[in-house]
Amino acid sequence: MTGTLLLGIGNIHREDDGVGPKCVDLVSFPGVHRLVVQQLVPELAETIRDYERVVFVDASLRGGTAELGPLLPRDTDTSFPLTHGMTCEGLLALTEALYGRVPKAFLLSIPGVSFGHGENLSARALENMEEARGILERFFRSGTAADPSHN
Amino acid sequence: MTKKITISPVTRIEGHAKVTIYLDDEGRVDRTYFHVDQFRGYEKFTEGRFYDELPMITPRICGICPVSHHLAAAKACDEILGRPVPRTASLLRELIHMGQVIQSHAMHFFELAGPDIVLGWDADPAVRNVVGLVRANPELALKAVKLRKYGQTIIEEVAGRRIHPTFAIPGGVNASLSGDSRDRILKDVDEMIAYIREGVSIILAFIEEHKEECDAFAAFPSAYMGLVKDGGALELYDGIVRMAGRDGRTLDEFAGRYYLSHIAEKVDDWSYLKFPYFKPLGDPEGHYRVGPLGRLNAADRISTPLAQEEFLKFKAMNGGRPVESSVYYHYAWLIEAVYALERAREILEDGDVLSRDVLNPGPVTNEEGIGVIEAPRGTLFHHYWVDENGTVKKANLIVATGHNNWAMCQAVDNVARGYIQGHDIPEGVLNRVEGAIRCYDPCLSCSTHAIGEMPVVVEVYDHQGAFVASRERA
Repeated sequence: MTGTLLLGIGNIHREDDGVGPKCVDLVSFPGVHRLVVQQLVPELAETIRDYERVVFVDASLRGGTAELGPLLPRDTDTSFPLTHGMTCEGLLALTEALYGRVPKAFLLSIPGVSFGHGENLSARALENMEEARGILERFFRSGTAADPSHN
Repeated sequence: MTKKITISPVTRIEGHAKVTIYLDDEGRVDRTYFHVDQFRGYEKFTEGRFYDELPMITPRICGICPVSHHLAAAKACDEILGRPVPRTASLLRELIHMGQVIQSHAMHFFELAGPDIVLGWDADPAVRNVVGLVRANPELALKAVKLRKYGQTIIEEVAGRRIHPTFAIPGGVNASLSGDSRDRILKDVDEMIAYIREGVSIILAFIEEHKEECDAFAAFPSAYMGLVKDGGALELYDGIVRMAGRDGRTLDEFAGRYYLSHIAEKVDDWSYLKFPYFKPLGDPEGHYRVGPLGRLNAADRISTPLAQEEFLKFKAMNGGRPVESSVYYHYAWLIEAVYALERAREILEDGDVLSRDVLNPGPVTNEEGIGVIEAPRGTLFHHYWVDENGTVKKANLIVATGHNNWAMCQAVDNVARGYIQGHDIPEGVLNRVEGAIRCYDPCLSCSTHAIGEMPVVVEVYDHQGAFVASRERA
């Protein structure tokens, strides 16, 4: 297992929901592969299994500012009974169950406030995306993923 | 006193998809509602855009079946051009559509329906999920992932990217297929067919073991709609629309561009989503089902041999009459997956598939265009009105979830009436209510997904709205 995957999640036509993909498009780091998806799907397990680390970058409804934190597999959270959605923790659990290994994982959540139809980010999401970019730069320059809050 | 039960996956952003069940004083189901959003926002979003942007914009409606929207939009744009699409371009479009069907149908069966079928309706909900399925049958789960990846590989080899391709454009496609790509796709097709047939064996064993419950599960009469071609053969990419009646006989066949003459939509004040019906029969007789069960009930045959074998078994399940139980959708998904794999092989072995004649461009000649395709979950209509420069003035989309709205309400009501007796409702019963919806596999929340709380909530109220009890599971 080598390298890091930076995985942006979201729909760029739903305003702030696109902040994850747009953030990933803004940055470039040596040895870090980038991938953008609209939503998580099961076959991504095969993609992430070979990485040492994966950093999910996703919009959030929680308010506040951008935050980076560790994620662990959660096998009761693989899918929702009536939707096609999959959580980051569920994808990690599926990866572990299928292949017996799972990358170290982190979630960079970027709060948004507007999720209507449109291609522009709100002013708040733009601010948070800038902050998120700084978090990623510190994270990858530090060369360690042990405690992202100290980066 | 009437009590209300609500099963609500609290949504992503724009509203709710939930089940509300009203009980009477004796704990019997009085009435049931299934509420869901639709995609009107996207129709507004397209206004003022140039028509040839729509094959790139509309796939963002859905993260699971973007190719279907991509192709329906391209077909509508072909009509705006008013020029024939080269045969090779049609073959390549159909090929990526088969890739979409393979990955989407595989996901439906193995990841959504699989936990119920392999682990059981009444299994502990903590393990009744895809990880539980992996632990119960790891080999099957790996094959499911490979199947999905194979479908995505077809899309990537042909269209250059797995999601939101820009491949289909008005008048054709923007790239031809290389021989190397063709060979890479072909080499694995037989292995994938074997995987799907393993799934067929599993669903047939499940049906045999639970025959009585399967036959009765969300079973109700309806009409059925789907594309057919060549004398009634199942068609997923380009054919005529067939409407079959409750007895299975063909009521009508029409070109998709005339859908407004044949389909009307009823509005109810308790749902954001309209209720389409076949105009000549009116409401409620004219309500129909789409998707795999609808398509197989409407079709007379399947043009590929292995899928036809299964089709004959399917047709025999209700003595030659339409198969009415919603749980047979799960079998129909797999039959269509077999067809999609066989059809992909046919296309790849076609002598024209490597031709470089893939585009027939031209100016805007028509101010209206309608594209119709069988998306994985049912018939998809894209209808655009443009000005003389090609700027979109108006758009109308009817998606599978909309066509099946009435049927999902019927299915939920049918299961609730069959299983809920009294106010103590076991988890397995609630799972069956949700399972009735899963048969139809609606796209409820594909458009946005920002991190948020999405528990399933069951709330009970009395007839005056006072809280009685609740259940919740994340």
